[in-house]
Amino acid sequence: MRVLLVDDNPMNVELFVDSLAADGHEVAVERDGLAGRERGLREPFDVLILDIQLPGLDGYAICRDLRAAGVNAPILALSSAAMSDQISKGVAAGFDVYLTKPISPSALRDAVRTAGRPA
Amino acid sequence: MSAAPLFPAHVPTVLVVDDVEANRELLDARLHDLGYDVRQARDGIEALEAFEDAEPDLVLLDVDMPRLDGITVCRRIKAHPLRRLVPVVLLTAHQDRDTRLRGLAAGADDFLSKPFDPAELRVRTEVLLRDRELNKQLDAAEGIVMALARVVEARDRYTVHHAERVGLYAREIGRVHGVLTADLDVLYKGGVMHDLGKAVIPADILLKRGALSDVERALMECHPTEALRIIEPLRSMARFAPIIRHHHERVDGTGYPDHLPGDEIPLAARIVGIADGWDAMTSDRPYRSALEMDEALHRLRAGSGSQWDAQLVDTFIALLDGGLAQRVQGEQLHVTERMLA
Ligand SMILES: [Fe+2]
Repeated sequence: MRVLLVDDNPMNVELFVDSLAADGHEVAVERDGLAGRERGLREPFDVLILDIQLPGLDGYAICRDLRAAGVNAPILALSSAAMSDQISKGVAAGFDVYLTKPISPSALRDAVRTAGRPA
Repeated sequence: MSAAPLFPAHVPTVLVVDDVEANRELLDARLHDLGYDVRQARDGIEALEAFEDAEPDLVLLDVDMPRLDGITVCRRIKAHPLRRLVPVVLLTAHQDRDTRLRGLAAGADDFLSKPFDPAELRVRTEVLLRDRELNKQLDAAEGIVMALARVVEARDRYTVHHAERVGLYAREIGRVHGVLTADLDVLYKGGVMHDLGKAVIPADILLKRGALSDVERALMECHPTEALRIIEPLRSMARFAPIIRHHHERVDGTGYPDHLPGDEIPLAARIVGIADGWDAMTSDRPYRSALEMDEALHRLRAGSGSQWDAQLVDTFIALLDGGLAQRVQGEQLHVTERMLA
């Protein structure tokens, strides 16, 4: 699958890209919110993974904009907070899955595999 | 009154595998401080032996070791149907990307770089143990539904092990069709539980000889949607819902409950539909005895493109030509023996 990862933490990016590539996914990376939104609007992806705290534009805003533009691929949130109000904010923004950091590479692989599974 | 636990708390066991004693002792001490039971192994062979004794909840695994290296040990653990659920953390030198890539290919769940940062060690072990606990709970829910499915099957003495065989056939069709390895298990379990909804069908209808009246038929056809009511509260069962709901759809759109045509029927349901149809034709049912293999094959071809997905029927016939039916019945005997043992 083609996966877009928007995350500004270089250590996470390297580990997540390697992990997803090990499952045969093709991973595109953007490191700030604005570039992430542009990429998500411009190119088709099977799954999108958005960090919530990003420079430029946060994950909620990107997700809302992508949904408004008709992007209906699964979008996963990576967040350091799993408060119920955060999760409901995530659901309202249009996220399909809300993952709490720290997340192991294998859990991320599972989440992408599950999200990308045709219903 | 102080709160009394009903059961003793489960203390997770961590297996530390490293050939350098100082490393083992350091990790042992830190993990002990975090409240875990710790076991040690000095090399890959000892690590696998430790698994034989008792399955740990987490493995911290050095890479360069005598006798059997960490990557190989990881690959062996992850190739085992049950042990693969135990999270494995590879201990790697900082920034050693090549080892990490090999580790990912071998199925490692996470990485910890040497020298160890105590905070990182704590966070990574907590996350993986939490995931493992969740997975165990999901497994438990699944186990209960599978058990219920077998009880339902047992109500119907004519379909002994029918569900089990449907699961086995479905998994094989999926394998040849190129379904992801991780999803083959969904096909197998979904096949076993596909008729769960028959739990609510009265026995006199379920076991009736001869044709059903219109009312009886309508009741019988509720079984896919009734099953969904049973599994609905169980989130981990959601992945089986498409199979259970749609296993009686037909590609010509005249099936039930949703009259979905062709590709609108979920792939997993199309696969289980063929497995179910075949096994129904080749085993005794209350309303008739088993068809000869040739007659069943003839009906399978006749229903290709109307009742069943034509491409999947071709796949299945190729599998039958390769002796699939005999293999499934063989595996069946195995299962029966295990249950009687
Ligand atoms: Fe059925």
